[in-house]
Amino acid sequence: MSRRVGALVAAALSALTGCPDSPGVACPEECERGFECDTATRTCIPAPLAVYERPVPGRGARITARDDHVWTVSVDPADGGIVVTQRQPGSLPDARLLATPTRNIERHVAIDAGADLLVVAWLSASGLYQLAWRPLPGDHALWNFVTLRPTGESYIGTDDFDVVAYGEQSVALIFRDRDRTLRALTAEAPTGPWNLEMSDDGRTTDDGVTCPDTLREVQPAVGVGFDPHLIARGSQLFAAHYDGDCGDLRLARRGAERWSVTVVDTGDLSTEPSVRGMTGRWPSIAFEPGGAVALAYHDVSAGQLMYAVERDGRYETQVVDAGFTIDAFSREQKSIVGAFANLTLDATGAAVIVYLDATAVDLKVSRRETASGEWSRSTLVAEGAVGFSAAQVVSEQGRTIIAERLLPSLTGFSSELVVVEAER
Amino acid sequence: MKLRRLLWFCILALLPLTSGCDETRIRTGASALTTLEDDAIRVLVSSDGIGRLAAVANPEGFALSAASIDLELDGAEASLGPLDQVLAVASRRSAPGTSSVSLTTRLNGSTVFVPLRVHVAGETRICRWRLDTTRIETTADLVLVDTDAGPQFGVGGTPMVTLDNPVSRAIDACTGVADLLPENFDALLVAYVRTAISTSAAASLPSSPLDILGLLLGNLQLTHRSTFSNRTGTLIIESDVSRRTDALAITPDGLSIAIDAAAEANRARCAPPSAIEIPPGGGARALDPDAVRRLGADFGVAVSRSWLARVAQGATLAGYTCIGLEDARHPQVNAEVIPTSDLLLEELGLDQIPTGAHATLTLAPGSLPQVDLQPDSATIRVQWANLQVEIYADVFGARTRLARIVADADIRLGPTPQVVGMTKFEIEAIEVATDRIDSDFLAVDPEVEDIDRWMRRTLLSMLQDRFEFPLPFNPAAPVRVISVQVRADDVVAFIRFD
Repeated sequence: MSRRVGALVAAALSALTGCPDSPGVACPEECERGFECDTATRTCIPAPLAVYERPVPGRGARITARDDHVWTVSVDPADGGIVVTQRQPGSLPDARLLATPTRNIERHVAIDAGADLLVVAWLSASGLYQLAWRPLPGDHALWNFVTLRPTGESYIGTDDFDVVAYGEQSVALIFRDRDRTLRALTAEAPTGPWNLEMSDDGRTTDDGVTCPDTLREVQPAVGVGFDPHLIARGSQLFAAHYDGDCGDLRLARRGAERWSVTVVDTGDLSTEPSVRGMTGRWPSIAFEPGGAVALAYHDVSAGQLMYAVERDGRYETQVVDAGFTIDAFSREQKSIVGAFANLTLDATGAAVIVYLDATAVDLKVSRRETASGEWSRSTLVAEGAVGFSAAQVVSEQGRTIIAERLLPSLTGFSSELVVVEAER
Repeated sequence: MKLRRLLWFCILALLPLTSGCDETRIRTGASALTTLEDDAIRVLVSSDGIGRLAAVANPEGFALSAASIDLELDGAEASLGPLDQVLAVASRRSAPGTSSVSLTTRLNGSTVFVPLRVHVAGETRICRWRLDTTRIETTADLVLVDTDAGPQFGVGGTPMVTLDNPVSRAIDACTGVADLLPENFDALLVAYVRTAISTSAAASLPSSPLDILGLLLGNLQLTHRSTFSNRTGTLIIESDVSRRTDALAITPDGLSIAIDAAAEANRARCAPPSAIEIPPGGGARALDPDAVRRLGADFGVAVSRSWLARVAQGATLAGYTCIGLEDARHPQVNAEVIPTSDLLLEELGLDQIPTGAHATLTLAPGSLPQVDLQPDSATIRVQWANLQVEIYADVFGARTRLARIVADADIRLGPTPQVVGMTKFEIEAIEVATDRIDSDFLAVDPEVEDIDRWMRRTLLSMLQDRFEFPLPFNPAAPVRVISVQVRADDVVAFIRFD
């Protein structure tokens, strides 16, 4: 496998730089991003990423793992630098500055580890997605870069996107297009060619649940594709996303041929059952032991954390955390909980969701020990304004949970990555 | 009309409600509360006001209506009438009596059209007559009578009718009919019309004094509805005509009504676990008829301090003052959100937070409001301890609490006169004593004075324009509150038909 990857990398290098096999080529002017000129040989050689010396920021933090390695990616809000950090047993975290985009990308960045690839994606100022990738295993300092340009088609990306590496070398990036649809960029290898696919146009669904034009066309019409979470099972892709017009949670899945769409939750309001609530932000997909699709997400109208699982083609929903606590005045205080929901499920059906308690501004966790068990809730980190971009991953190291903490000062806020290591 | 009455009760309390009865499910039920507060509400309708009510009840004019009567003509069957005609009213006036109100209606230059049907030789001939007068005037004495349904308006005796210069003549040729008419036909015609006017005058008077005022008696349950289950509670209001013998009476001052009422609540979980607690005090006092007359009002309504306080506390317990975060829609269509820049967060040291452009405020009571009346300054004082305000704004797309402030608020409300359709109070002054501010976003705690100033301004913007309540009157008759008087034991609204 690694020999094939090596060949692929070599081919990619050749394609990107055009110089490794051409000793007389002009260098350094023509070295592409990720390469530097070897002044001795006047050839472009892979450029190791600079070590990131400052405390790792937490803005837009995402996490992934393979075997006993865990990687995080986050953004330094001070300069927009993208920091990718590798954590492995017995070593200090290895933080590298992956890129410093000219566009202030604020918080949106995505990462995923496939069997043989580690990929990171972000949106460039031109509205095109950038992909950094490297082989697994491999040198954490050496990355390759590519701009995702589909053959014969165009798109304008937004800050709502996610990326997955799957299969042998395949990569898919799901995103909300400026045309208010959910689209996917897919390739069998990170070097391309890239295909642009319509994943969900907001109209057709397989279950017949639609967002009526009366809602879809009312200004401000924003369409579908918000907060997408993309996951792969074999060659199948699953993308959960939020419908900004109807306030629905939608799930797009691609089989061998095409994308199909179902509406998981319309969030009907208890006070007015005929009125749709706003539900389905920050969806996170996992699979129950029997293979059923499960999702954790935020019910915006009710300000609560939800869990949905597919049963016989329909989705059963339950409230994981309604956000009610008793306060100092013996009142039941309502907290807004469930933003940045991130779900993991293991083979026994034990589920863990990490999320933001946006009222206490704490990082919370809800656990279910078995597939049919009750949910229990606890605060994981309460110090400071913490819990933004909550995410978790399970590796051979155990469970790693991350979130951003905002650190106030007289001149503004700095960002800190909070990392919680826990048992599985 | 019934719903409007319900709405009045729904938001009678001096409370800042989010969206009034839109968030309320209203039910009527069997009596459940056993102890009613004596004279919680007192009403005085001046005798002129009763006359205005009669006019309001008959906006089209004087409805003349009568069934036909049989006539015996020479060898023929005949009938006179029926009448179904609206006559223009020139004036109405009322005069008080000892236990009645005399209502006089004048109709100038009226013409009454009267059909005459005659059955001759197997066929019916119809010819029309007209009765012209220079003046019609009817006077009816309005009295209260006891009925199984309670006290109702009735007419004392037979309404008097005056017809000046009645002249009758046939409109049509009345061929073959005129010869059959008796010599006293003109007198018969005038008598028929006179009786019809008398009967119609009685029928035009209102039947129920409570209907006139739109007051709802009985048990009413107002359930506060919310997206959040902890804000759901029920305010239970019960009212009835006072048990005093003179609770409903017509006097030389007009129509007076005394109503006993009670209020309880099934607590919403967002409200503090307290019981309604009202300092002892009397009910509403009798209204001053001279004040009603002097101000040119048709009505006066007095609501007792203890009743205001009881409903205010009950509504608080029922969750009506747990406010905010109910609307999750886009800011462009969301009535709750306000521009973040309008909050002046820099005064609290919260301006550096990377928030979105819109924010939402929440309000939650840490105690039940205390309502007191200040007749010297003509204000209502609302003291509210441990009032909690939270600031929410989008942080990285998540609706996040930036800070929570707990403070004691002391609010003084002054009436706003000349408001159509409702009694409105404006905040004249608000004092705030901050207990604490909680925020994970603060580098340093702000000065207490800064928090007080911010809280005072924020409460003012949150609560202003919320202290208003509709009036207990028929919405078909627009009314105007011309003056509001704050007395030691009650608040009196003086109202006039617009």
